[in-house]
Amino acid sequence: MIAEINRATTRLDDALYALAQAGSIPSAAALDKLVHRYPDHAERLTEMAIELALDALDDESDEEANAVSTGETSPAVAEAMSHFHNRLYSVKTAERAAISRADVPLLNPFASLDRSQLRSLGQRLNANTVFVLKLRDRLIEADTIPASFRGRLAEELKAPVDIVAAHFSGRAEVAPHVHYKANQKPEAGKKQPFEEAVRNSGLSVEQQRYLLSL
Amino acid sequence: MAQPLTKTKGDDGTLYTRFPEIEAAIEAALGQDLDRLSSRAAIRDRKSSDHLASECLVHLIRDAHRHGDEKRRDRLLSALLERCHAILNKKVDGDLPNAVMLRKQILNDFGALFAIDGSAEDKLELDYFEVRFNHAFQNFRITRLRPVFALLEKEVELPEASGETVESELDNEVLARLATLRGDASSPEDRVFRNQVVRAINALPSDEREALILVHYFGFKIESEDLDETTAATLCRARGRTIQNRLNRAKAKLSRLKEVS
Repeated sequence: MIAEINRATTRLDDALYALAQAGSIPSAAALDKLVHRYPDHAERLTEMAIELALDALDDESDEEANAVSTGETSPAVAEAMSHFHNRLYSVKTAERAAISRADVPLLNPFASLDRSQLRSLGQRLNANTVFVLKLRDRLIEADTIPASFRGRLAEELKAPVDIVAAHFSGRAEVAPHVHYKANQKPEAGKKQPFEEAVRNSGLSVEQQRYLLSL
Repeated sequence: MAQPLTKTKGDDGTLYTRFPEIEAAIEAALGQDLDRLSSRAAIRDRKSSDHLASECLVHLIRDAHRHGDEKRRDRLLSALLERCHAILNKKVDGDLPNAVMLRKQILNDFGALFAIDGSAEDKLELDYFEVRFNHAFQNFRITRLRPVFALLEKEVELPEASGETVESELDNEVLARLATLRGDASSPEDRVFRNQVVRAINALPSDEREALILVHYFGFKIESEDLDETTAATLCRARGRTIQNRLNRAKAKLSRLKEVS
């Protein structure tokens, strides 16, 4: 039953995609061809074609098009944005819960990088290896890391931004392959805010200014 | 380069693709800063060289979302929702009960597609919006309004006369040139008349409106003896006589346009 519903859905999608390929407003010949190809969806295709024809006839859309938005957010859009953020929050919460339920250790997107790759990553981020090690070892407070920097880092690491975000939300740790002289493994340091990490990593003034502008 | 779409066609398993002009517009827009994109997104005149196609806007929002750039995502999404809000104000009949709530619901539902984009709940619906936005948004709107119309099956009164002077007659000759009325009526008088015609057509019951557009805009025959031929009757799954009756009723209502003006 579910498979049948999915197949029907897919086929409607296919019919609508084919209609989209037929132009902004389909011609009678194109509509004729499509309803023969997708007889199960002839009604929807016809309905869509009629609406598109009415759009094309409607001069008021041109008048409206000539207007430039005032830049002020209308109440309906403000509400839709709020709804969007609420929905996004519930999606993220569900994802975090799923990860937690699976009891999967957090994936460290830096794990596969050797020393020279870490140095190279630092250069590409307009930072240095010390700063990259703080990122790797989760020594920076997740909430203080600018979204644009997280996005840039995800791009450089070729990792989904969610994985990078999840990495930073984990507990600070010492990388497993780090060599140390003491008998016991050293404890990971305390997390610090992004700004403090930038200022205390031996970065040049220019590098600091750049990273704090993100 | 714009990230390729990932939805596949059920027919042959091939990927959805954007039109070349959209690919080019995305390519150009990806390198632009947020202020520039925001001012372009505020332009609604599609003929303007600076206008940012909605397909392109959808891609930029998804791209920002993927890269965790919340500021860019939110500003561009807000601009896109303003466009959608304008469409809904126009397309969702204000005479419908709860029209304001319906518009809000559709807008909220559309915004939510971006919230689930890339998540386990995502069914790649937004790929269609990157192919042809006006089709996709129309389908989105129809899907949500259809149950409401099914409940109502309402008879809509003709709109009030707006006071414009229209000398043209809405007769068979006018209906015969319905298809040529689109887009570029040159004189203000022609535009006023066309707007009145379109408003009146929009106000017709859906079965009469369908018959009228299929016959007088697309040029389908009412019916045919050739069973394989597509006609208004086959498209509406009705008899030829029924289509003719719907056309007659529609024309009778539209002819009042002349009287009220």
